[in-house]
Amino acid sequence: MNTKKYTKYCIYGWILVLFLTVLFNRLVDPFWYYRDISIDGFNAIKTEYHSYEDQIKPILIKEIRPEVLIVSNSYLEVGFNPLHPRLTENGKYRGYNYGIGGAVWGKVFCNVLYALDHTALKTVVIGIQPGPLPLFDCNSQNESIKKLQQQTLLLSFDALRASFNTVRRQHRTPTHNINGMSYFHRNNGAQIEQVFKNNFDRYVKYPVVKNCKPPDFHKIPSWSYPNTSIDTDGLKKILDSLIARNIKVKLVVYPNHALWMELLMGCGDIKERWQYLYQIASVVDSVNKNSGLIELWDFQGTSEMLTERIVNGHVKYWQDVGHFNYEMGDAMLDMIYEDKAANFSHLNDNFGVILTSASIIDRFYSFFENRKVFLEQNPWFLDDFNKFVK
Amino acid sequence: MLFNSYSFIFAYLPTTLIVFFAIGRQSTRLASLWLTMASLVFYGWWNPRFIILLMLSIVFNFHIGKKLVELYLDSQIYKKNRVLSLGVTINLLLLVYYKYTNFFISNLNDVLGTGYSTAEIILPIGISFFTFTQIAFLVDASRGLVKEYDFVHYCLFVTYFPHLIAGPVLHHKEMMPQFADLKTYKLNFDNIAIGLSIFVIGLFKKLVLADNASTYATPVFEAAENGVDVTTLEAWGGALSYTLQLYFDFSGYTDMAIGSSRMFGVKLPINFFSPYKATNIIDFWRRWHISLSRFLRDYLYITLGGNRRGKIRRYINLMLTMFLGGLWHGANWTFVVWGCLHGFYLIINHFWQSFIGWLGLDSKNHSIIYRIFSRLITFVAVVFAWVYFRSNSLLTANVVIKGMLGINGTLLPIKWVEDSDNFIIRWFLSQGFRPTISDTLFDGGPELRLIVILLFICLFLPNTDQVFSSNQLNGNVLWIWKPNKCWLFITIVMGFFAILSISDLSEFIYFQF
Repeated sequence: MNTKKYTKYCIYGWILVLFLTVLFNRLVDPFWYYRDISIDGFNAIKTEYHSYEDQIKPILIKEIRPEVLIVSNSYLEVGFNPLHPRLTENGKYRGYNYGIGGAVWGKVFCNVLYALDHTALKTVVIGIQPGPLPLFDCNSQNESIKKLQQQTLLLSFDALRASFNTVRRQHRTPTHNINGMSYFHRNNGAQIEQVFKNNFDRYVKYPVVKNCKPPDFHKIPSWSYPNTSIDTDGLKKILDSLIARNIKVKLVVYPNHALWMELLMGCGDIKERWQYLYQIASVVDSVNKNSGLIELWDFQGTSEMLTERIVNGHVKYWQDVGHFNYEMGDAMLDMIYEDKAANFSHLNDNFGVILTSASIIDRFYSFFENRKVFLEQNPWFLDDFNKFVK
Repeated sequence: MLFNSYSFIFAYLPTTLIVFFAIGRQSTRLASLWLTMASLVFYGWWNPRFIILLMLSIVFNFHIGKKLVELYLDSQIYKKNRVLSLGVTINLLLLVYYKYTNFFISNLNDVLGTGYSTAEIILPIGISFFTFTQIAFLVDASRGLVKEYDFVHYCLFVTYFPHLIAGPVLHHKEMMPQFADLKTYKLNFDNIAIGLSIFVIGLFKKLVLADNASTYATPVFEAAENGVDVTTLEAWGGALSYTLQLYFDFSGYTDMAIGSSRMFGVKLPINFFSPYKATNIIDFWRRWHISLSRFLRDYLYITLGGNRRGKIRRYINLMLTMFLGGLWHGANWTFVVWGCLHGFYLIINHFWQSFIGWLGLDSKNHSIIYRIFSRLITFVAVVFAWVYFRSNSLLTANVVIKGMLGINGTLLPIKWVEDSDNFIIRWFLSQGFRPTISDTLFDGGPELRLIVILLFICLFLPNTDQVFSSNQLNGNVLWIWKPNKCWLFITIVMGFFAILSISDLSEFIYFQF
């Protein structure tokens, strides 16, 4: 072979393989971007979507322009159905779940601002953790979103790998639906006890063994106002921005399974959560000014779903200590929109309440009183706790 | 414009190449002019306003150089030296203004407690390279070593896009004759095929190897910047990953520069020759950034007196050269420490060689164990120095160094701990190493695998220059490049993987210098 032929074949070779790559990636559409070709057994199940949701979801919401959005980490991504009839006003509005696995507050903050600029929002559900909610610089995140271009979707090693894996893994169960909702470990119910055990182990054994005991439930702690203030400027900024555009906001405090709540209280400061929530509720009150556009919802408590017994094969509402199934999410959304969980009429009234800075003290006491009653009536619960913490 | 961008690979390079040879058939001068203009576009792609600065620098240096040649021919030594001093000083002032003003102000503030605000100065890309290239031109002009001084060729010599941004630091005597050679302007498929293959190897090194290594290096140094005490495995993982990233990044860039230049029929000097195979620091500097080492040796070390004024003076000259070499890389004390560390290493190396000579031992014929040990100790010394090179402050570097020395403790990745059947892990645990609550910055298996693979490539595979060398004694050596099916396949596959990695666009490390 002479060098002229060598050069020619090199160029032809590259053109051919690159063309085939683009074609293959376009057909498989592993990131669910084009959404026009779905062939069972070939690309219908997007097994790789979850690995790239961080990049792809921002682009998608820009294209879809949903009116109803759920912005959170994976807790609400797994638990909240964006097409819930109350949320979308029976399908009147387009809903999308913009939850991102592992998203810390900074990401949620930036995602809300991004959504504000790129969608036609009417309602937004934002998941929060009790704690500091400061401002964040979103430039680097916005830059990384801009970087994702057509060539990344069609002509990148990531896309090719994702396409191959998508075709290869069609026998797997779906990880997401087309509306951005994640199924996570939903189909892993047979091993749920082990998942809980692993969650507990990671918390109590590493890096040093902690001796965590649930606080004595017979004693109801007394309320005290926070001594130190947390940074909530980020929350205030997004709420101000949303309310300025007349967008309804439902702030949802991520609920944990009651066993996990016991662990957090047993290993840390029993009142801390409530003091954080008090400060968050104060911000909400100050921004809301009786407009009623913003609601802060807390579901933590001892209701049937929060205290569900964790036994392999019998767990309906939980996937691990923080991820709940959409059956519980539906009940939460029912509560938020109808003040009752339509299909869960037997749930007691501590399942979900709106928090304000004025009502939080009552909520604090009712939480501990309900807990006392529940633990007195259900001694198995602490036995289970000890089993997991062992 | 970046070599590793779609715009360069699919638009700029083919267009420039095709037009260059098309014009070259009619007029070599116009082709030179075309290549110069194209190079200015390449440069201006990043920030067009600095084209003016570059052109002013070129015009100034060309005229000073011409004057120096005249003065040399007229034997006006005193006047020649004054003109040379003026030329070098203005070049250095330009460099100092853009690169060191803020460094000077912030240090002044630190030392004197003053509150002068730093200026908003954007560093023109490649300024260190084109300034040094032209200083060398002026010095050689004053020594009567400049044979050709055609303005268009001079412009092309300085602006020539393959080397303009990050080297190699070129010498006019190896470039100007090539621009004057008529053969350069004729399409030659030998050059195209070789250039294309070298370019693809460089692209692969940068996009597939270096950028992957950076994913392990960057988080460790960023964590240290943020005050996290990185632990032993994390620190070593980060330092080794950076060591490999830097080599593949910079040597990849150089390969792309050499390859793209070769397509135009112009041969650039090599810049790397398997530096991590070096058995001592002197050897390392003969293999690492060769064009800069050559510049520092010829225009700084020898000018300072080199080794002609006794041992002590030689050591001082070495330290001074490496100190300035460090500072050339950037306005930060970390580069100064890096340069001084290498100066110190070189002094020890020279001292050791003298000691061996004094003992009457043959410094060339050592046992294989000695050579392995020498290579290892050289490599480790280089890795420690790179920590300063990479860090944004001495504080950050010291955190990583402490981590490497085990002072910050050792954590094991959780996934290793969960694999408690592994006897190595059981041993670690029995020795008191703590597992972490979450994954450490040290990624365990994948990171280790990448480091081992990249080290293998560095230490055991031939380098690009060896692969494309036409001077190999044994023409049948398997890895020597030939236009055959095997190399065609390798080139297509490497190019394919590299092009697919372009979407994660990343700058070259040496762009900042």
